[in-house]
Amino acid sequence: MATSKGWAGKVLRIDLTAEKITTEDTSKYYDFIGGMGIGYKVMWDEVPEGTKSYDPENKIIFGVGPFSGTGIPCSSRTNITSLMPTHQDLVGDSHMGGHFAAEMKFAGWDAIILEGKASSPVWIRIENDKVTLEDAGRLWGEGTFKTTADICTVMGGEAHVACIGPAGENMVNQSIIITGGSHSAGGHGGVMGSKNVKAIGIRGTLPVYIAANGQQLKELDEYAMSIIGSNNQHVVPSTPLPWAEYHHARSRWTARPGLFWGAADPPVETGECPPEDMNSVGLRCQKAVFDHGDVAEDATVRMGGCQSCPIRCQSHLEVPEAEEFGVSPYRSNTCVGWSFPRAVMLKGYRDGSTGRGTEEALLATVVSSNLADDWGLWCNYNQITRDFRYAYENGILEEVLPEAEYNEIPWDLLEAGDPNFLHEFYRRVCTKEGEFSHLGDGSYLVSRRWNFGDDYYTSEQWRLWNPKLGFPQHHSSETAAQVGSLINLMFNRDAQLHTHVNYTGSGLPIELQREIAGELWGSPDALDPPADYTPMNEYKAVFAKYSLIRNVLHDSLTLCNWMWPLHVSPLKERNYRGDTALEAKFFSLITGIEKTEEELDMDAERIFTLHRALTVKQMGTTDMRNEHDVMSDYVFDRDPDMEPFEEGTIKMDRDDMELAKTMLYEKFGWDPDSGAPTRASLERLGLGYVADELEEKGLLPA
Amino acid sequence: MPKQNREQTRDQKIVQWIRSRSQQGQLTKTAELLQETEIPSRELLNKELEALASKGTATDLQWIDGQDERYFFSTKTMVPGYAAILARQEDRDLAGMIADTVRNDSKTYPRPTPIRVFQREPFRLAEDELADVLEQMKRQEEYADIQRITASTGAAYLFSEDYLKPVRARTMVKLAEEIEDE
Repeated sequence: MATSKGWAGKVLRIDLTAEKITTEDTSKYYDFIGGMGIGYKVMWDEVPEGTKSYDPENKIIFGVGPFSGTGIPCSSRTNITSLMPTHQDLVGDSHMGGHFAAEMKFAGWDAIILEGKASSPVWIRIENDKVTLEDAGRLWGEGTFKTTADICTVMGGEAHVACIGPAGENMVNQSIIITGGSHSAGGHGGVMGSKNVKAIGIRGTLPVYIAANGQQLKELDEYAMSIIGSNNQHVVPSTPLPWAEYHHARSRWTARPGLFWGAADPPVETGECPPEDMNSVGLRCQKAVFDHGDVAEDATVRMGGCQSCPIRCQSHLEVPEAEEFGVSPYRSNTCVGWSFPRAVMLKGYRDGSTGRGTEEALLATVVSSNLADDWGLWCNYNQITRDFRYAYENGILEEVLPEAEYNEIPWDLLEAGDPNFLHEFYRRVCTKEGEFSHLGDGSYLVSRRWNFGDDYYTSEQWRLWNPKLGFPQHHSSETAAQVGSLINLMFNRDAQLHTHVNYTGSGLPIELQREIAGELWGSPDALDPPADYTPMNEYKAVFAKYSLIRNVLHDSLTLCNWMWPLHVSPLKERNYRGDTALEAKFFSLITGIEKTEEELDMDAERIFTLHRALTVKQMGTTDMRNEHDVMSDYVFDRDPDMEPFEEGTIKMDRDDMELAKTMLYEKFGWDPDSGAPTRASLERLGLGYVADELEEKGLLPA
Repeated sequence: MPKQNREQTRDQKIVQWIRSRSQQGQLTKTAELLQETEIPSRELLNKELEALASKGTATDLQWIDGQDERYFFSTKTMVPGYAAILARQEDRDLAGMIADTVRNDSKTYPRPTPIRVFQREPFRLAEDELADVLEQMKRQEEYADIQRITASTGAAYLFSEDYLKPVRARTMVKLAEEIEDE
């Protein structure tokens, strides 16, 4: 299987303790594709169970796949794998977009493995195959914006930087690694800090070789572009347009006549963007108004995004008043990159408004987002603000903070909606200043440290999906019933998985969605209508398994799972069908290794099963069903006057969910009782050595 | 020029006119066509266009009969649903336009309709105007199925009880406003 088409062919390993830099051949990881797959393989092979996140024995792997750097749409995603301090030191992934992934490939690297611990702060300078450790003493303590700018001053403006802020340096569990000022990977900043690594600066000038000729790639690329939609592969516009048979107000295809990038000079009208017009694909998503409401239109300078992405989901805003609060008036971000910082202002804003949609809300959000990314704080998919609210509104902070510390915090600013409060919030958490800073520990740890009530773990209001691991729901039971629920059970952190929600959110009518679901997953019954659920069936298990392994596939290739797979399309002439074989078609062209859709899915199943085995090994139990795959009571107890499967509720049934788990386990060939991989399921995927090790440790089901 | 050729040219001109207006996102009224052609009466013109639309070269022509007008459009560049919205606007039947949209949303997708969409293209209702129409609809029996829900965020939605149960509509609004943004 040896080839270096698509792959750069080399893995960079840096032993920080020994200051030793070595190169390895990527080919030994080809069965794991790249990105996430390389990450899990390294963690399985090299990091012993019992290792803690901040131990030098832990490793952190920056991985990209054969697609990054080739120009395939939406392919500049960097996957970062390591233990997660927020989630019981289990293995987890964080991801970032931007340009870093492509630049890794241009520099000739498929992965960067960091191990050990530097004796003093360093940053890693990579210029093609020239790799050096540089003194980061001058950068230590600086925010991510200045760090990025300083390194680019040294390396040149073409360089790309992945770095941590003070939060990561201080090993705040909820820290990010960030590139390009706003593309952040949540959860591993502290691991990088524990190794005394401030940043990786990278500059590449090498080609990425592909097996096919350029014309073949161009043709497939044009085909992909013909069926691509808008952000999250939403394929209908948000308002009625002359060309559109369907529309959906929640669609991220927000372009319409009269909607502008209002702060551009001159303003740019998004317009009609008919699907056949390839030159307006980048105008389809005016994400600022989607994320902030209409008030953001006039603040929108442009839409931006990652290398090779035609969709542009990052809104670049200019809010001059932000300077009054000591931050830049310019800010870009998307989705939770906006909603988390906004939610820190628990009590609303100076004009008395709450939530979003006002100028004051937009101002506070821009100030807060600037601070969050500069300090380098992660939100645990918004859970940090729910933790803050729970502790504040229940009087817990007054109880657990020393009196002097409590009195020192300017709560009056929070109550008044004054954005100056944000400086206090981020500084205290990110510098580990006082008891308040334990908000950054992660939900599992802080909720126990501060004795949160039972309601925190069981009430819908707080959305803590997995009380044993401390992560929130992320497109869970509200998205395709048991399918979303199962997906939220499988990882060791919130499920950063969008395969299913992109499908249900496409904007197409439910009957058409169910019809296509029948073609993809065996029966229209794979998908329930929204808030009109039915009991578990095998097609839902197929849909859930497909969603899981496609997500893993994307994080290994590496592709953006906020866009891929292209299940559906905006084209009436295709009856809105997309093409789920596109990943395999691109893979065959890029690498020269012919793979069908099913064969590539099998590779992804190997990676996902390795993740499962790794979790079994790390937890020291095969009882995944009861010890890992759990969800909060609110999923079953919401709407107390209604029964599960009654029209109008998304309430789930306990017995039905246990059946759902069993059916999913069986789809993977895992033990139906415990949910742990069996020898047969491992050997089928070429993971016999994993079965051997698990058996040796007494962790293989009989 | 022979009569047949003259008629062909005239037909082509009419079809082109309607297609061009559709491409610009506009309907074409019979009255407008009367001014552009030598056809003496509305009835004759409509009859001629009906015949034209049944021919192979102009099957994209469709029309909607409004209160006092017939509105033509080309399906090459405008879908019937969009044309129906424009026709209601032309007729100033704003309540009908809102009800059609809400019922279609509740039936087809299904989903409650955020009221804010009626202030955007192609509806373009001013805030006061929208509030007045919604207030009038409350008192009209023919719109008794159209119900309103206000989310915890303050956003207002409409749905049709003919197609969505209130409890389901409330859940869908809650999900749309509180969770799906993430």
